[in-house]
Amino acid sequence: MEKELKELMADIFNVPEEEILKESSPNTLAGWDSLKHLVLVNAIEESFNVSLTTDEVTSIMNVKNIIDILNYKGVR
Amino acid sequence: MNNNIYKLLRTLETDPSKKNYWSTYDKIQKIEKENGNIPKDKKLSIALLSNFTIDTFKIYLDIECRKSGLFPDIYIGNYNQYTQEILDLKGSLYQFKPEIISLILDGEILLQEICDNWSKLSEENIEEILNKEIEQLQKLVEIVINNSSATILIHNLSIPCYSPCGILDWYEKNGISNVFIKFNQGIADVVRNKRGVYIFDYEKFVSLHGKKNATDYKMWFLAKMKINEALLPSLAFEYMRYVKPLKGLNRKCLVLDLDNTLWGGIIGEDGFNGIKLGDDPPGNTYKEFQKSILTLWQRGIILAINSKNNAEDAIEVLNNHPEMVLRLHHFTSTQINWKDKATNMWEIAKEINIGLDSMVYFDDDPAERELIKRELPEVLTVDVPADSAYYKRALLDLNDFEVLSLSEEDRKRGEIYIQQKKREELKKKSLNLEEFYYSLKMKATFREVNSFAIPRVTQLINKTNQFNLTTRRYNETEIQKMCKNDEYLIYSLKMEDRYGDNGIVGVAIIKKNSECWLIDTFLLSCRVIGRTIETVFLNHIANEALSEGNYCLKGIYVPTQKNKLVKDFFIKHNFHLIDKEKDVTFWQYDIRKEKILFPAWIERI
Repeated sequence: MEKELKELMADIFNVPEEEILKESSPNTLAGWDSLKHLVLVNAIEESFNVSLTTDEVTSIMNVKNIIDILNYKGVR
Repeated sequence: MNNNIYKLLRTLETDPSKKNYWSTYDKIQKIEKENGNIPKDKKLSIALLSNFTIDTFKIYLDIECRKSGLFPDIYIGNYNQYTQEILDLKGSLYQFKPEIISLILDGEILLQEICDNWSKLSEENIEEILNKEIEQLQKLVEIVINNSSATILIHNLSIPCYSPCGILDWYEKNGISNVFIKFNQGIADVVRNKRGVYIFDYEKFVSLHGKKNATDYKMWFLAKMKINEALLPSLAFEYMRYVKPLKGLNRKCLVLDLDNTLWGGIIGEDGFNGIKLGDDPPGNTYKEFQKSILTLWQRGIILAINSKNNAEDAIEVLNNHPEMVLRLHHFTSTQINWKDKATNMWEIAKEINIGLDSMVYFDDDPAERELIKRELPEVLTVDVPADSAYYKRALLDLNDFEVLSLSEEDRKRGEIYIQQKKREELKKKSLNLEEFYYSLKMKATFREVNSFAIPRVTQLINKTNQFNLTTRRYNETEIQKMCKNDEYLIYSLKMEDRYGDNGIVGVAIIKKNSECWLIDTFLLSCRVIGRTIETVFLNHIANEALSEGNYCLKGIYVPTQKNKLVKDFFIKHNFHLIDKEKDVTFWQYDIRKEKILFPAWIERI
């Protein structure tokens, strides 16, 4: 799942996969504004077939948060 | 179109996911930056102004424009600053020089004052607020018109699904639904007299797609995105209805196949009476389809036929089949032959003098469609559904036939139909029916039926129920025998009037006797009832009888459920009752003694 997520984010942010780290956040990843955040959320929901609640979406501060949420939802 | 861009757009056909749309959009932007040279007439600048977050729409609108070979540049107004941006004449909106400015307004935000405080406001308060908002919008529109040459689109408001009044919403003079409807009518009134300003019927759009799914509430609360992203590709498609005519990418000609497209079945095999067209299924699907094509014709779209058939078979249907909605004169070009259909398309284009890129092709046969797609990719080949019940929708869903205004010529098409309506109205008003009859300019042609007319005559004999004196049914073979038999005479009556040729509309079968001619069958198509045409027909028969040395006509009336209309036919024409058997009546008329008057308002050919 982590690899898939990194591939997805590399595509959305238009950067090489290696640049997506667990610590990556709106502060470190260029272009991660509020709009891109929603694009990311939408793409994650579509690719992993999950639904993120409003609370979950607003709680995401970095890539690790996303991984934790997906794990919690049982995504492998 | 740049090959790379084309390939990227194709990927959306197999993978229409949000991820792919965003990724495709990014990649295309990159390619455009690298390329630089954009033909001037393919550029398109669009400004989207809104009172909610509309940024995402840019992706889908951009892609939809690219599919048409355009190079869009889309400006997104600052969040809920549309008033300020319109008022700032030196600001970025006007600097951008948009060709289209779209005002995408959400109603629950715009009329929040009314929606949130409904129970506290009086009817008058609500009227005031409503009028103020409409006036405000009108002022903004006028400022844009005076300071820009942009085409303006204004979204009307989606009527909310929930009302504070519950089921009593329509009880109230200014219930929520009525408030929104009044607003929509108000802005439509504002726009009506202005050139270049259009209402984008957003209310119709979300109704079509289902209001249940129109807003993703999560995205509304997170990001003030009021339109569900899933709807944005469709919204972009609808925008092309304005973009295409603006950029000259609309199409003017609809080319149609015939068999299983305009009627069910194959005319060459099933024959005139065998094709399916009429008020029963599946014939009704084709009739409806023809009606929808007619509405396009009335708007100015040119029609053409591209069909593999014997021309006479097909034209016979076009001219004489009573259920055809479209007639030969509706088609500017007809290529009905055994050549390949691509060659025919070229001929049509030449004859009408238009480009292939102005043509749309509708054919039920997938093989023929493939041929045209391959050989003539500039032609838009419609992906015709397998079931004719869906033809109408497939046609009307196309966004290629729009025009930004109707020209005088286009309007005239509609006039003929208005005239017909006037004709009906005149008939109702006028006590003097004679004037009405004269105005129709009717022309009658009588013939002895020949083999060419037999199918139509047979059809009328078997279909006509109302204006039918005896309702005797004969099949084609029997009719043919009667034609060859000297004891019988079969007459057909063809009518023309100022509106066109109605074809054969009357049939009479006469059995000759030593002194009298017996009218075995006498019928009229219901289209021409009420115009004294029956008198003309009778007059003709009487004259023929007289010229052959017979001095009387005999008739029979067999009453049925459906032919009460002709109950008094013989009485009206001065026949005498000579016998009665149960409710069947027998009549006679002496031609030497009384003349059957030929109505002066019908011309005999």
